[in-house]
Amino acid sequence: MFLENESNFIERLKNEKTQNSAFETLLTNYKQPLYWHIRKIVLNHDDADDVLQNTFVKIFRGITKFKGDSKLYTWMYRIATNESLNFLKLKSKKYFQSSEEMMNTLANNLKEDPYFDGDMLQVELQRIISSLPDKQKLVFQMKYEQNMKFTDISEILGTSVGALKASYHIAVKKIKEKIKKIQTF
Amino acid sequence: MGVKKDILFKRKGFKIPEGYFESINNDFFKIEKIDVNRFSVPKNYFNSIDKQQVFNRIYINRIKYLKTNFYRAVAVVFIGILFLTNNLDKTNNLNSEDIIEYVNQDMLYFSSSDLSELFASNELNYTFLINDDDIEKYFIEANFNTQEYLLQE
Repeated sequence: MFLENESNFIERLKNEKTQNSAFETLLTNYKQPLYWHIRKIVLNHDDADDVLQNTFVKIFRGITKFKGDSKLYTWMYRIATNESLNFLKLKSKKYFQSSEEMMNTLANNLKEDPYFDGDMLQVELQRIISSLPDKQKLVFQMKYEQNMKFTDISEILGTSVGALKASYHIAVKKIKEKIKKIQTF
Repeated sequence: MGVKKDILFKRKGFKIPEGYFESINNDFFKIEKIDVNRFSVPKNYFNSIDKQQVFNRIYINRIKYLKTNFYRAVAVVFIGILFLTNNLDKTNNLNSEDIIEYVNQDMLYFSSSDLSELFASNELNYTFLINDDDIEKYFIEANFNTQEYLLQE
C-alpha cells in the first residue's frame, strides 16, 4: 500500500518530530479499508465510525510499542477486529441481550438502514453471516469479501492457516445451505 | 524393515476426495449473483476523517479518565474522613453534671418539657442540693399567708 519502505515508515511513526505527518499518511491510506472491515462486523455506519475512531486512537497510542514482529497492516487489522468484537460485546451487555440476539437485532435494523441498499435476500444473507461463530464469520468476511490471503488472516486472527481454511469451508457450507432454504421459499 | 514399512503404511487410514483442497475457493460458493457489498456511507464521510478527529478523541478520553479518577479520589477521602471521625470519638455518654452546666450557660432556653426529656429522673442525684425537710418547709411557707392568718385570729 505504501511506496515507502515499511520499516522507514514505522520509524517515522515512532519519531516525535515526524509522527504527526506519518500518522496523517497512515490515516489517509487505511481509513477506508479499516472502515469496511469494521463495518462488515458491526453492520451499522454510526457504530463503525465510532469503532474506527477508537481503532485509530489505539494505533496512535500503541505505535511506539509496536515491535515489528508482524506487518503493520495486519497489526492494525488485529486492533480493528478486537475493537469491533469488544464493541459488540459491550453493546449486547448494555441491552441485556446475548451476542446472538444482538447480531439478530443489528441484522433486522438493516431493513430500515439508510446506508444499506440491499433487498430482503441481502438482509437475510447478512443475518446468516452475522449468526456464524466469530472465527467463521471473520474468516469468511476477510477471505470472500475482502479477498485477503490466508497467511495475512492467520496473522490477524492468531489462528493457523489450516484451521482458517477449515473454518472458511464450514462457513461457506452453512451460508450456502441457509441461502438455498430462503431461495426455495 | 519391510514389516516396519507395512505398519507405517497401514496407519495412513484417512483419505480425502480427489481435488478436495482445490475446490475450496470462491467458485465453490455459487452465489455470485448475490452481492455482499450493499453497504454505503454518507456523502464525503471519508474526506471528513482526519487526524484532528483522532487527537480530539484522545483528549476527550484523557479528560474522562481524569474526571473519573478525581471523583473516585474524592469519594475515598470522604469515606476515610468518616471512618476516622467515627473511630476517634468513641465516648458519646453525657452525664447529668455536664447537662446542668451546659444549660446554666444561658445559651439554650429549654422549656420544662424539653428539660424533662433531657434528664432521666432515675439518673439524677440532687439530694446533696435539697433534702426532705427543706421541701416540707417550702410547702408550708408557700401555702401560709401570715397576714390572712393574723386577721382571722
